[in-house]
Amino acid sequence: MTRLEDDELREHLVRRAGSAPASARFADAVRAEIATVKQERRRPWDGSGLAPHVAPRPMPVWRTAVAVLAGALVVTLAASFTVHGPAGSPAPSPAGVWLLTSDQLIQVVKSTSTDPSNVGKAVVADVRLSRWVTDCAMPCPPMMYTLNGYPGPLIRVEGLPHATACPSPASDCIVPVPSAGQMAVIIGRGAVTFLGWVRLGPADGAWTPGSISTLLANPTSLQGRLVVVDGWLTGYGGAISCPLAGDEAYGCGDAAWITTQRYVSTWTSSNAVAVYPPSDGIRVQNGAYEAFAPASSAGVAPHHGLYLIDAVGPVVSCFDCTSTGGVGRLVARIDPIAFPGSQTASPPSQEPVASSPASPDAGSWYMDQEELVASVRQARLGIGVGRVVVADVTFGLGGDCRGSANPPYCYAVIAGADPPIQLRDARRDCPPTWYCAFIRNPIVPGGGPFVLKILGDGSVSFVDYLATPASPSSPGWPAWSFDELRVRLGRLDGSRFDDYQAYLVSGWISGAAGIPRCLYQPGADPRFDCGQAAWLTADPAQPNAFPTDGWPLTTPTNSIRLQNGAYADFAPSPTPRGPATAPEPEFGTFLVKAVLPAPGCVFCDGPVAEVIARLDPP
Amino acid sequence: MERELVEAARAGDRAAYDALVRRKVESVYRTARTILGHDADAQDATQEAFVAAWRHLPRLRDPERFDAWLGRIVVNACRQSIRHRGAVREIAMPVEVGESHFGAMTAPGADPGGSVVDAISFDRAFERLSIDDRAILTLHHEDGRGLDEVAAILGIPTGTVKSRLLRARRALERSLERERPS
Repeated sequence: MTRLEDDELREHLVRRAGSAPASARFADAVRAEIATVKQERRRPWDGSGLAPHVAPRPMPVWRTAVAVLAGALVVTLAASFTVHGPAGSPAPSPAGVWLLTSDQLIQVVKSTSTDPSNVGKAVVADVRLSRWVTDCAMPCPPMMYTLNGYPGPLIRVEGLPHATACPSPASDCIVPVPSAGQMAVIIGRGAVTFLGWVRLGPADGAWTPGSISTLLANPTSLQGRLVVVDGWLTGYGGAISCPLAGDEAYGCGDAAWITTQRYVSTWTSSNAVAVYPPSDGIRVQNGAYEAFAPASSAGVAPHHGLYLIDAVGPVVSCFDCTSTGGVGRLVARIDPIAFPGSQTASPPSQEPVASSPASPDAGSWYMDQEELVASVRQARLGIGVGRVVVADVTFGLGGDCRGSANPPYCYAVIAGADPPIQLRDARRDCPPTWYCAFIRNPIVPGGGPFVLKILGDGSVSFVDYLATPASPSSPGWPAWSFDELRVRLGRLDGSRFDDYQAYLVSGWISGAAGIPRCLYQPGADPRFDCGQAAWLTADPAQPNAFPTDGWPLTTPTNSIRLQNGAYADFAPSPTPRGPATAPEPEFGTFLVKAVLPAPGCVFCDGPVAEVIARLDPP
Repeated sequence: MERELVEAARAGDRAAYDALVRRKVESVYRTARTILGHDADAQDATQEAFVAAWRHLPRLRDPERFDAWLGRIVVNACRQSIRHRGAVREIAMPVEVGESHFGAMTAPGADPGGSVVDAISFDRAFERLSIDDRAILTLHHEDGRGLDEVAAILGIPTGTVKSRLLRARRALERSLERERPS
């Protein structure tokens, strides 16, 4: 073993300590930052020296807030007292809004190909699951699940634990499973992600915080099922922080609760912030308020809604817990579902999701500075909002960049544009798996061209850097030829910065008509696993064959494998037009990114890439 | 004198806290820089620590223990910084706003000369240690704090400090072993 003497260890540590930054200047920057921060006058009765993470007992609701300003003790009766008291019970939520039938769920999921507004929402649905075994030749084949049996719309249910039992009889590839009931899912594009089975409350409705408290204290009786609770989500909302706290979900931190009645737990004055834990309700994990309350400028206003809760039971160390005994993990907020109405069939042609070209000029997605400025001005009038373009522009600093090291109103802008065009979502040009030296905000990207999205408020959003072919004089620059890109993607090893950037390429996109027969590989990247595979090819390719018992696939040769569902997302006619026809390949210009490290892949004949946008008009 | 400053700052006197910041900023920065190994991260951790200390100062019961209390906050700020980092590869990059720089893969700092272990190997080995191991080695060997003081900062008994120091030292030596050419 390498021995290290004390002197040598100290020498290395002193070297690591380096030289202090210009102390006075740095101290000024620190002091400037502190000048914007209020001292936390958290519960004067709760001063606790070196161990502020020790949980105090919950205090009664009605308290006097004490604020101290510049040494003068000011005792203030909290002006917002009225909000702590009873404020009326929440209105009951109509069952039809959040508890869907199986058909309703299928309808909503199918509509995501044209209307993504429901993607990411959590719902509860009364469903029956069917197993869809993809390869009966396996001794114990892995399984996918679909909704409502077969035949029928195949809507993949992801996130379910893999079944260990083989179908019986083994020759029957489509075996109904006795899995039926109320299931909580997150809606995705053409699929749903399983969150858990749900135990409904009285009268098949939601629970109230009061009615669920006994079950939360003894969660074994729920048998792992989630519950839907109708109540008010409230929390400290970042009003306190616990610098000495650990990672405990229910320890000192941004505590949150679901209460029966509207309750404000944080009170802010011009001088201080005081917090008041509720005396009843369900204590949920720290940070739940920030994660699940809708973003608004309303500060820490409680939010009324339906919340999906996983019962945790009593915890040993519980900070500001209520007296009900058990705590819950808030899994999701259930939002009302917008039904697609009477529309049941997909329209014949849809715009790609990540691109909405407004100009009929096929080349209009590549812009110089002047063209981009003009397009941003047009977008302010509602023309071309959301377009993804490639722009060769220069960025500079705008706003107020004076003062501290990281002034809050200093941001990147398109250099020379008047009025200024702000760059939003700029990020450092550092690959996600690397550690790069810190680049202080505001980030000003350099070395274009860049992929940008034009927003409707007179700004642009940064999408990515564009990796271009080595020779600017090559045909089609900054796009890559298909063959050139295919070779390049196959060689990427993540050692270069531009390995992680976006590539522009034209080609034919094709995709699976339905869920194909294939092995579902546990642990594989779901984007490239058995599923609705898609490919990019130099020449048109039709991967679908049309026998009567499903949609066997032939992997196109010399192709770039794209993420599952890419055809539906980026080709204008994503759905099959009839029982014996398949979606046709589409020619387009796409922005793709390499997937590093290369994932396990089904239906691959070459490299893999992820489409992030389509640039040409469909 | 410092006690008065802490008491005044605890009561909300910003000028008193400014004076404390001026006094402490260099030592706090050095501790953070040693643990984290990067200027910008250390500056951020230092700033986070002072801001957190200001916010929570009213809850410090004994002004005499301000140093230990602040030290603990600094260690936790470093812990947060490391959590947010997700380091896989180290690159020293010249940083200038408005340009992309893809620098060489070198660790900052020069070989201290005469050392058996070179600086790059030491830094790589040190950064494989847990934050607790890094902190205890830094507080004792770089900051020169006694065992009692380290115990107060980390909130553990003095006897435990001794055993953890030994454990951290062994962990560092094992980590250095991995740096030796095979």
